[in-house]
Amino acid sequence: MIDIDTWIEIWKWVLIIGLGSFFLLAIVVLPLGARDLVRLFRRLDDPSRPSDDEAD
Amino acid sequence: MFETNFTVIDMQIVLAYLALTVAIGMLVNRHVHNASDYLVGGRSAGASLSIASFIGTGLGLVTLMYASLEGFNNGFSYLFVPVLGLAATLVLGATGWVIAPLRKLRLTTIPEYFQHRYNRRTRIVAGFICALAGILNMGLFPKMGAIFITYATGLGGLSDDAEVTVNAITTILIVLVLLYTTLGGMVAVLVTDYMQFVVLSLGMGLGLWFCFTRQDLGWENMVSVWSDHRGEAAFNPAHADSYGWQFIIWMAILTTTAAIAWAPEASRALTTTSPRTSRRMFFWGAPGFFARMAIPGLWGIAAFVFISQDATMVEYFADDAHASHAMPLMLGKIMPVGILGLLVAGLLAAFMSTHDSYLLAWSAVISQDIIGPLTPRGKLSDRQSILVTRVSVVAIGVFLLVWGVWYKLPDSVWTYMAVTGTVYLSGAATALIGGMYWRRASSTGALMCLLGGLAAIPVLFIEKLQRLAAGVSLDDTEPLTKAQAAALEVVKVWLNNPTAALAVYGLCVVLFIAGSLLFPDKHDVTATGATP
Repeated sequence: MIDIDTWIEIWKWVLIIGLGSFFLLAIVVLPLGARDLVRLFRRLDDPSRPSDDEAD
Repeated sequence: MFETNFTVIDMQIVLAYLALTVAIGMLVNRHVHNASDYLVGGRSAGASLSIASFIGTGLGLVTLMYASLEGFNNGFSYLFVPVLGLAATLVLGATGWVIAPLRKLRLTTIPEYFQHRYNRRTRIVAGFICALAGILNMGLFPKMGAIFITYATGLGGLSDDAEVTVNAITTILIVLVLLYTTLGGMVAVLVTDYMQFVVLSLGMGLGLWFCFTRQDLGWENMVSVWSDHRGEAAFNPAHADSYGWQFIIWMAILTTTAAIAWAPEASRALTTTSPRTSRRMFFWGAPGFFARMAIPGLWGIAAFVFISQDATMVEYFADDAHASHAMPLMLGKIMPVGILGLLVAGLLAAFMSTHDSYLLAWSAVISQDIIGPLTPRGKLSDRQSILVTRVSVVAIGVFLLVWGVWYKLPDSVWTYMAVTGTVYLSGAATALIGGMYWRRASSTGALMCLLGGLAAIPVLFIEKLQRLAAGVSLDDTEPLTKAQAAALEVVKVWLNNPTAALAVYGLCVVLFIAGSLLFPDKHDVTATGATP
């Protein structure tokens, strides 16, 4: 059986690791996501883009 | 009691942000050239944008509201739900199980797979159940969002009937979302999801900061108050006075099946540039899945502590019906001017982003999986697809307005959403996974298990079912005798939301296997697109 103090420690570390990873991810995704948005518009407006059936 | 720190400056931030979002949604319309662009963003979203959109879709204001409500009612125990979400998305991203083959098939919607693997009839049935469950599930979103705005901005104290304010805000928000979703489609969704991700990452971080750095809140204080109030049940989700094992098992199945088959989120796997990007989106987006439920859960935990220090609020919140007002009220009182405006703007964006994703997902299902296959050609042209999708978006919006105004919120919003999700997910996920990894899966088996999922609908009325099983009056205002109350308690042990939902999942699996073995398909499975 896990006692109450161990549960508190578990949640503390789960939050540190989980939320720490999220904010790190946010720092990386913010600039790269903006770059992807620019590429998305370029690709959508590209007249030589293959049709949905031809791509991949 | 309802006053908050929300001022004219905050209001200006919110209005500026809303205007910007709607303008962008309308402007991107010129980049939409065909149905694929409208429905899946031309499958042109890179990994980082997909991650932001994936998290943005799941990070709706309703998520924040139900998560905070769970935190407020159950304390730290609730954190097992975000942990399960994290585990499910990490495993799916690492293995590519289901999601990579789905993307490889170049589908537009999830039910489209059922025609690809089984037949047209299965797709139409899946589409119908998917849209029904999804729209019902979405029915609570507007009201929850409007409650947040009303109480975080202090508007709750403006009139004697706060319900009028809530309904007015619900209407304004839905009209705004309809405007840019009908025009911009998935491209607008991707852009606004990204904006929302930016603003909310900052807003949620600041919200947490103010919770943890205040003297009357803080980690030590929160742990101590909850420990005194609920003991081990506040920390151990399996404890008899907390969620219990049945609920944990249900959530493990629900979070996994939702990630692979719940249209708004699973359809993100269809918008990426390649199957590999879909896997990366799930794997790297996993912390977002955790944070979107853990942070508001922590706000709910903090709101409980905040309220416990004020006698007037303790009295107000003694009524369970007011629990959903706790988190917005606390944030409105602890966040400083300006930052509160930024947070409300971010959360409003969250509201709109979830609505646009859901509206588009369910409308796409209606146009592509129900109306399209029923036409003589078996599918709609590009122009027809966009038109039918837009009309469906507006129709669902009108339904949400009516539902949002008239429907009374249940005690546990999360359970309502989990049950409505089970209606579709129990059958669809079984038929999807079985279709991909079991060669003998047949269209009859798939149809039977999809229809089996409808057995979850009565679970929405679980309290009536419990009373019926215990042989007591269905009228819950009628007083019970001691013997009747004891009988009802016994029934509640074996007939409750988790046991009933798990039984529906089990029923779907049994129907799927039995139907497939007893009524095998005559055609070659690989020819219809069975995937490895």
